[in-house]
Amino acid sequence: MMKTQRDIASFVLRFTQELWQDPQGEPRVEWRGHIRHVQDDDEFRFTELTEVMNFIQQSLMKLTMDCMPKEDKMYQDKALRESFKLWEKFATSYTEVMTEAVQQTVKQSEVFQKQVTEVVEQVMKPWWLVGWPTPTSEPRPAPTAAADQAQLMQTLVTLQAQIAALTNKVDKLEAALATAPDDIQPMQ
Amino acid sequence: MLDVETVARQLKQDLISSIDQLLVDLPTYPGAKAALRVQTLGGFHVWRDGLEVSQTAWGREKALHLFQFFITMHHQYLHKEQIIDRLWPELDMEKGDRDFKVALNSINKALEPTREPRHEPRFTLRYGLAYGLDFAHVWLDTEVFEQLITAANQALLERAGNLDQARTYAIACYTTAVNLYNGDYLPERRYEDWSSAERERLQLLALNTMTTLAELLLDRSPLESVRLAQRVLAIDPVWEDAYRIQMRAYVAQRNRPLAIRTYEKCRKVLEEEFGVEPLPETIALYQQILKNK
Repeated sequence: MMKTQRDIASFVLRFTQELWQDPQGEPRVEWRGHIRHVQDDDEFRFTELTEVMNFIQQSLMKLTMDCMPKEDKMYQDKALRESFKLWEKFATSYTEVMTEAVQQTVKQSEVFQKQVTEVVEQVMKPWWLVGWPTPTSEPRPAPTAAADQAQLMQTLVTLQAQIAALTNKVDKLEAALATAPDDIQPMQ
Repeated sequence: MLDVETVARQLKQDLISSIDQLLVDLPTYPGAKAALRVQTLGGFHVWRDGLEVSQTAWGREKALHLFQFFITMHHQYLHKEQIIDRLWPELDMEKGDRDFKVALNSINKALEPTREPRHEPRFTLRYGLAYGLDFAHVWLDTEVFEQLITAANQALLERAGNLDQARTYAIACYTTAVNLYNGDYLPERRYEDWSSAERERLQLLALNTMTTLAELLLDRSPLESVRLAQRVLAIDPVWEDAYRIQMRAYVAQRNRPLAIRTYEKCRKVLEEEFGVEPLPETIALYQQILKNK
C-alpha cells in the first residue's frame, strides 16, 4: 500500500516544569504537559504520563480506522488488532527504556520504577476490558463491530483519564489534610 | 483619507526601518534592502526588491510547498529523495522526481522572472544531489526575530555602557521582536509535520519574550504589561507567569479588584485544565494583594 500523508501521525509534546520549595524547604516539582496531534489538531493537557499515553493510543487507533473506511468489518477488526499489538509492543519497550534510564540515574529509586510500570499497566488495561489481543490468555468478550469497538475504546480511555485526574486530586487532598493543623482531622 | 491597507503598509515599513536601526551593528543581519524579504510568522508573504510576489507567480502549489520547506530547513541542504519523501510521500520516485524539478523551476521563475537562460539561479542552490536556499540575500522574519532577541539578551547580560541604556535598548529589541511575531509560523502548514517543530520552537520563544518584556515594563508601563500578558494567555491560557505579571500590573495601576479577578481566573483555568492549584508564588502574591487593602 502506498504511504500517504494521512498515514502519518505526528505529535508535538510540551512539558513545563514548575519547581518550588514547600514550607519545610524541600524541593517540589510538577510537570504540566500539552500534546497536540499535528494532523487532526486535537490537543490535550495533562499532568500524568498515563493521560498522554492514552491520548496517543486513541489517536493511533483513529488513524488505523480512518485509513480503511471502505474495508469490511472483519478486515477492520483484524487491522485494529494489529495496530493494538504494535502499540502494546511500543508501550512495553517504552517501559524498559524508562526503567533502564531510571536505573542508570536514580539507582535506589524503586518507587519511581514501580510508578513507570504502573503507568504502562494502566495504559494496557482498557484492551483487556474490550478484548484486544494481549500477552495473557485471559478470556475476552466477543468483539463487536469495529466502529462500536473504537467508540467503546474511546469512552473507556476518556473515563480512564478522568479517573486518573480524580485520583490525583484525592491524593493531593489527602496530602493537604495530613499536613493540616491538629483540629482538622481526615474523615474516617 | 488613509485607507487601512496604506496604514498597515506604513506600520510594516516603520517596523522594518526600526529593525535596521537596532541591528545596524550586527554583521549577519542582511538589512531590509536584501533582494528577498520573507514573512512566515502569522502568514506567508514574499517580496522581491520591495514588490510582493503574488500567489499566482508560484504557478503551482508544489512550488510554494517546496519553497516553504527550504525556508523551514533553513541552512540545511537535503537530498532530493529526502525532500520528496518528506513533502510528497504518496508519489513514486519517478513522479516525485518530475514534480520536484517542475516545482524547483517554478520557484526560480517566481523569484527571478527575468533570469537569462543557462544562468545559475540566485536563490536556490544545488550541491550534487542536495538542494537548499542561499540565505545571503534573504531577509527572513524568523531569523530577524531571533537576532533581535539575542541582541536584547546580550545587552542585558553585558550591560555595556550604563544599565539604563542597556535596559532601554533591550526593551526596544524585545518590543520589535514581539511586533514581528504576527502569529504562528506558517499557519498554512499547520497540519504538516515538517513545520511543527519550528512552529513550536518559535512559539515558545515568543511566549518567553513577551513574558520577559511584560516584566521589564512593569514599572514604566503597566498597561502595556497587561496587554502583553493577555497576548501570552491568548496563545497559552495556562502560562502561569503571565497571570502573576498581570496581577502585579493591575496592582501598579491601583486596580485591586482586577488583580484579584486575574488570580481567580488563573485558579479556575489550572483547575479545569490540569486539576492543580496555582503555584505557591502565585498564591503568595494573591494573599499579599488581599492583605494590602
